[in-house]
Amino acid sequence: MNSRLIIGQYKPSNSFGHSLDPRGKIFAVLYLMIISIFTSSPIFYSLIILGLLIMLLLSDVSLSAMAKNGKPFVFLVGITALYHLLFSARDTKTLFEIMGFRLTEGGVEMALSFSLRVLVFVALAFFISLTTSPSDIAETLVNWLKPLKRIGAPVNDIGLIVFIAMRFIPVLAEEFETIRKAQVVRGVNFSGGIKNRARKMTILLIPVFQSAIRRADDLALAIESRGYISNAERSSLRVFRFGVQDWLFVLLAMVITTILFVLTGEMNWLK
Amino acid sequence: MAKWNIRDIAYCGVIAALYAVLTVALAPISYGVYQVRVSEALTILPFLYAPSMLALFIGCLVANIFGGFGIQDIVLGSLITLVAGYATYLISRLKSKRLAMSLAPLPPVIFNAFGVAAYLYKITGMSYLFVAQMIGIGELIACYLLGLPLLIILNSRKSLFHIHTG
Repeated sequence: MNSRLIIGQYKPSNSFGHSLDPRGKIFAVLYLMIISIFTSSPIFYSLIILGLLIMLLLSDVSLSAMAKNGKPFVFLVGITALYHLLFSARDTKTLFEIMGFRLTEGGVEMALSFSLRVLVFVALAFFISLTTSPSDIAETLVNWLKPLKRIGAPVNDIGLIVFIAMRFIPVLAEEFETIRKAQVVRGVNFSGGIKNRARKMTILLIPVFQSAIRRADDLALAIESRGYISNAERSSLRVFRFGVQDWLFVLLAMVITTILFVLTGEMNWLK
Repeated sequence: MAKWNIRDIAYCGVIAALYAVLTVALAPISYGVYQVRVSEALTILPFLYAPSMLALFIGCLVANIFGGFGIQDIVLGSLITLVAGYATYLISRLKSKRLAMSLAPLPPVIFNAFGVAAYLYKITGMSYLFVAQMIGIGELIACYLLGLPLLIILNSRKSLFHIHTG
């Protein structure tokens, strides 16, 4: 368990990326994700990745931070490329053959295109998670759920649950680590085969779960004693303001990516 | 919609945090096509405690914020977890408790394998069945090897965990 992984992703800053309204950022990212699905142009993906890289650097996100966060996804990008090299477009022109394995032109193109697409999605997720605090993302999503109030959905309660979850992540991460260390001291070995690891993980899950429930009991008492009313309108410590720079960011992101989409579509190798 | 009591809200918040912690801390194996999301073991909770389906939905939503597949994973992934949680809750109402318990971890396996694969295959360009199979295997490990023993233990210690099944 590495609690730094949870806490270390987002770092507050006054950079351009950090100062944008999370609603605008999430909307622009959503648009880019949708548009990325409808093309397979490696040029489009490369330009988007380059743009996001510049945006991340402008947002005080260092290359080492990007590398650290990107590590878990290297395997995924590699597997995607390998899958297409081995199985896709087998009926296209053979580039070369080695020990019975044919590397095809179509396979290489698809490997390049889809690994770049995965990279676009990873980079977009980075742009959001590295420049927006998790509580701002959660608050944006809860804000977008507000229309569901009309059909009786407990939106306020959902909001409170989201914020409790956010608050308890570091607490429970530390608790998990403490319990894991305690089990190791008692001689539990967490290595071995899948079955053994699964069994040991269950041993770990029970005390963590019990501890979490105990904390929840205390928390319920604290909320009750402060007179929480389920359906009452709640105010937020931070009020989002959608300013001129947010409108500009969203419009520019949409216009630029749409132009790139159209232009690179004509150069698309995989029509 | 039924009104929630404070205890439900607190329990859901903490269970959601636990799901997120288990997912994010084991990040390399929690996201993507080849995943064994240990936190999915908690998807058996709606069997014992119905409101936990909302906790799992929120936990998944929070955990996927840190993941690599962005908004569609955040929104669709968590909605799939909610639907699977509801199905697990429905299974808990079966008359044969033995059968119900053995089926309880199945909905997250099925819904995630076929649901998550539906958008993941689009991103990776891999075949839908291949992605569904990979996610299904990961879910089987998490839900049956971890989730089922957890369910058996929690079911025998309901009072210890103050779980009210009503």
